[in-house]
This record gives sequence, structure tokens and C-alpha cells, in this order.
Amino acid sequence: MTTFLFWNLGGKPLADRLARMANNFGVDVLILAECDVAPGVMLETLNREAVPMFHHHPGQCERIAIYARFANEFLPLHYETERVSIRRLSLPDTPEILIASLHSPSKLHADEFDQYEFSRRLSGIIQDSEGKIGHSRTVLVGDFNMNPFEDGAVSAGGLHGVMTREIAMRESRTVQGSQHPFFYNPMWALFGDGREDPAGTYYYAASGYRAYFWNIFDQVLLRPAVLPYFRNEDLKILTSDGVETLLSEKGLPDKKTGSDHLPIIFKLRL
Amino acid sequence: MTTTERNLWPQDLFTAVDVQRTPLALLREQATLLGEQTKNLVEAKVTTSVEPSLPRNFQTLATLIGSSTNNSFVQKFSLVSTALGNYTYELFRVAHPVEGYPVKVFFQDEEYVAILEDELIGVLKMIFAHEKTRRVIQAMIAQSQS
Repeated sequence: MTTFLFWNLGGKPLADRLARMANNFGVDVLILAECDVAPGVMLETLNREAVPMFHHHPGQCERIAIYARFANEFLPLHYETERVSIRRLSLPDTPEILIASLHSPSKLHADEFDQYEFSRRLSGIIQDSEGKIGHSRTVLVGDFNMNPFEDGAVSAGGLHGVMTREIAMRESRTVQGSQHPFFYNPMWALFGDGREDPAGTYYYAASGYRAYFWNIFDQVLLRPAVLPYFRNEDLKILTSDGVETLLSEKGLPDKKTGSDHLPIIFKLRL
Repeated sequence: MTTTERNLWPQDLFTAVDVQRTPLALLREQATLLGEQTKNLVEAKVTTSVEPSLPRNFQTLATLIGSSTNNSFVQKFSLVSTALGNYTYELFRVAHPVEGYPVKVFFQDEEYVAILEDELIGVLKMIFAHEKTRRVIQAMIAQSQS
């Protein structure tokens, strides 16, 4: 079993809270966006109590920082851009998994077309990587800066994330003569207040006519080939670091003591 | 034909009896211990390569104690900081025959010979406590935190 945590730290010095989460929730791989904490400081903080200790997995991707409880040779780099890092998770006696991490352009600086175009290009990069490596056991995780229902996330030309396993297990569909592989996007099930989890990972009360209030920008998408290793109950939006809450009194992400995003945690039963 | 008859290898060949730890095992152990003590801010990596022969001025000694002189192993012991984008500093290297000992250690333009495991441990202690080693490790830690 390998446990992953993704969190957009919002540029905050949250190493202590992250270390608490890593220890309390048994996290093996930390994938971070907007992490301004120096790798040395992060390692020192994470490894105060961690057994086994975390290693930093450096790369050229400026927007993503990765720490894992195993050495670099088990998570080698395959492809990187400023916003995307694709690594091969090759642990002993387990099937190799491609871990693609991303921090998509913010809605503050990119309109819907830009975001769609980013997703379309990302989809091409992932398919190209899968073709070169020879399997499609791919997990895509990060801050998408878009909801699961937006064009870049659902369109066949984009990431093609669908809301049920049953559809995803069809593997692909053909649109106007071109075949497009599916991702399963389990985040759909986490919207709204029908569960104990918060209604999203990011809260924004827009002043215009259209306001979702809660958004799920922080997501994990899985290819059908990874689904045998994933159970929906192993995916959660975290509301605490295991000791202290990440929410304000109003039940929103507490920006004073944490980030404006809530972390997501998921496991792969490899 | 029975298994015993087919297998011509002596049965006690694969049982380790009172064997010295190999230089590689010793170095790997020390590499792991460094990472643990620095919280992985500075790790050590041991990489192995094979050379066609032992260093020339080392061959006589190896022959004297009955070790092979061809196809020597070279273990490179490097300090690595992943927090500094995988910055790597080669601290020392060890050459030895396939039998493991004797070893020749190359550190800071000096060469040290060890015939037994205990002697190699002594050389490693000297290297790890050396001012140069201290300075490099402390500088790597300081830079990774800024």
C-alpha cells in the first residue's frame, strides 16, 4: 500500500503541519504545489520523527516539489516542464506506476481557453509518455485550477476524466475518427455536502452571477489500468493534520493557519 | 543420476564462515548512517565500477596475500544533496580485488592501504573525522537550508 498526499501550500511555511500529516496519516509520497519552503528545511522538519525518513526528489519543475519515503532511484524522472513532472514509481515487487503531477495555470492568469489548451497539451504529453514507457498505469494528481466538470478536465481532447469507473473501464472512445483514452476522475463524488468531507478543496465566493462557492481544483485522476489498485474509500479531502483542524470556524479552509486549498490523500494498493 | 552426483560444488562453499565484511557492505552501511544523521539533508552514495587491474603499486601486496590482481573493483563514495538539486561530491574511492581485501583508499591526494576489515574501519573513521569532510558536509547542510 502506498499513500500519496497532494497539497497546494499557497506559499505558506507549513512544513510542521505537513510533517504532522505525514506521520499521522502514514504518507509515503508528498506532492506539493506553491511550496516555498527550502528543501533542506522541509527535510529536516519532515524527518524529525519520520521512519522511514523522507528523501527530496529534485527536478526542474518549479511548480511542484516531491518528497518520498524512498530513495530517488525508486521514483526517477521521466519528463518535466515548468508545471508538470512525470515520474516512474518503481517499487520492488510492485507494478510500475507513472505519477504525473501538475500545477495548472491559475484562473487569475489564464482564461478557459488557455486552461483547455494546457489540458490538451498535457493529455498529449501523458499519452506520449505512456507510449514510450509501454504501459498506461498512470495517476495524474495536482492543482488543476479547474473543476472536474470544466472543458479541460472532461473533453475528449483534454484530460477526458469521467465520473464513473464503469465508463472509464471502456478505456477509450472515438470522436470524429480519433481515439481518446479515459481517465477516471473520482473527485466527482466528493462534491457537495452529502458526506462528512468538506464540499470541495477550495472555496471562492465569486461576486458575479455564476458562483460555485466550493470548487475541487485539487484532484487525482486514474487510468483504467490503475483502477484495480484503487478504492474510492481510500480517497479523502483532509480537514485536519491529524491534530489540529485545517478549517476556520465557518468550515472553510483556514488561510491564517493553513493554505487556501485543502489537501487530498489517496492510497494505491500496489 | 542423483542431485548430489550432479552437483560438483562443495556443500560448504555457500555458507559464510567468519568472513570479513566486504568493503562494499561497510561503505553502504556508513552511507545509510550518514543519511539518518543528517535527516537526509546529505546522503551518501556508493557506486561500483570494475577496472581491468588493481592499481600498479598495489599489485605486489595483493599477490603477497594471495588476492587476484586482475579485474579490480572500485567503490566511489560520494556525498549527495538532493535538496541542492542532486549536488554530488566524491569524498573518496576504494580499490580492491574480487576477494575484498586488501583495499587501497584514495582520499585527498593520499593513499591508504588496509589489509583487514578493522584497518579499513580505521581509515574510514579518519576520513569521516577529517576537517575537509566536516567542511563539505556542513556547507551542504547550510546551503540546503537557505
